Amino acid sequence: MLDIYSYDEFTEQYVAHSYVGGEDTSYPVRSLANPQEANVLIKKLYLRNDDPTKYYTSVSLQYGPEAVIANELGFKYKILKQENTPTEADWLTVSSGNEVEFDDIGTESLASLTFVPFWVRLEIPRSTPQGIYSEARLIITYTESSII
Amino acid sequence: MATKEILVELIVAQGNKTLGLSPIDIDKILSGPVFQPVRPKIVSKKVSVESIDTTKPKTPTPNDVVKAAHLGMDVAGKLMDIIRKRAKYFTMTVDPVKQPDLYYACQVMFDDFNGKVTFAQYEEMLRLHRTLTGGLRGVSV
Repeated sequence: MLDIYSYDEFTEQYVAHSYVGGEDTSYPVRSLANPQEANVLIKKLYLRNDDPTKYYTSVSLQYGPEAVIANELGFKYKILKQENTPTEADWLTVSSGNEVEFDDIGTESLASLTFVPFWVRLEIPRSTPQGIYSEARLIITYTESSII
Repeated sequence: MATKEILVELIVAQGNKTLGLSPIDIDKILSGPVFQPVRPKIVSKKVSVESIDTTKPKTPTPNDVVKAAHLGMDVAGKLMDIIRKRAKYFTMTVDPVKQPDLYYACQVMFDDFNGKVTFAQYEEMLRLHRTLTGGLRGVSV
């Protein structure tokens, strides 16, 4: 199964984030912001398959749903697939709501359980009202196949 | 083609810069539905916690403190991770009923403990936890 992980520096372990339909919804990709001090949030996350009997093709990732991403609050959601911390110039190469394509994860003869890094950036207007915003999703699209 | 939707959550605070977080009340965040204890999907260690009656003080052992510090990390670790770079001062209320081990450890560790843990005290607790467990990955306490 494909999941999105964070690396927890306290436990020194990768932790899978909650997903729609999962049993445990207590661990979303969570950010805390005081936009009057800083209105850009950047996180490093990982995409990973934890099933040694599966491999994945046509893997892509983007924020959604579209109605939420194009909200009137003016939030901007971006994703970059790279290992090192993106520069401002890197972020300027993509627009809000962009889709990122990943290489195949595993092959028909061998699964890959590697953590594939990517970065997400959330920019919020400084006037954003306080509150909890939880309608956005990170949507993974993929084709799952069994190892032969 | 299939899809999987990962939950995303943004908590926005405005205003008071003394705490860096208000006016969303930090105590409500910690005790409410937002910051539940993290339950890692991949975890190699299991923490067993004995029930401690906070009304009957006993002589603490280093292991008591380790257990309590570990509980504290489970409850507030993620939040601390997020704010540690921006908050100089932070206070977390410890509930003696919901968090008896943490409450007990705080009584032991901090002479001036009044039911709240400051950012500095929390950092001290983490350092002690790491020292006592040797900072080893996967150590069971």
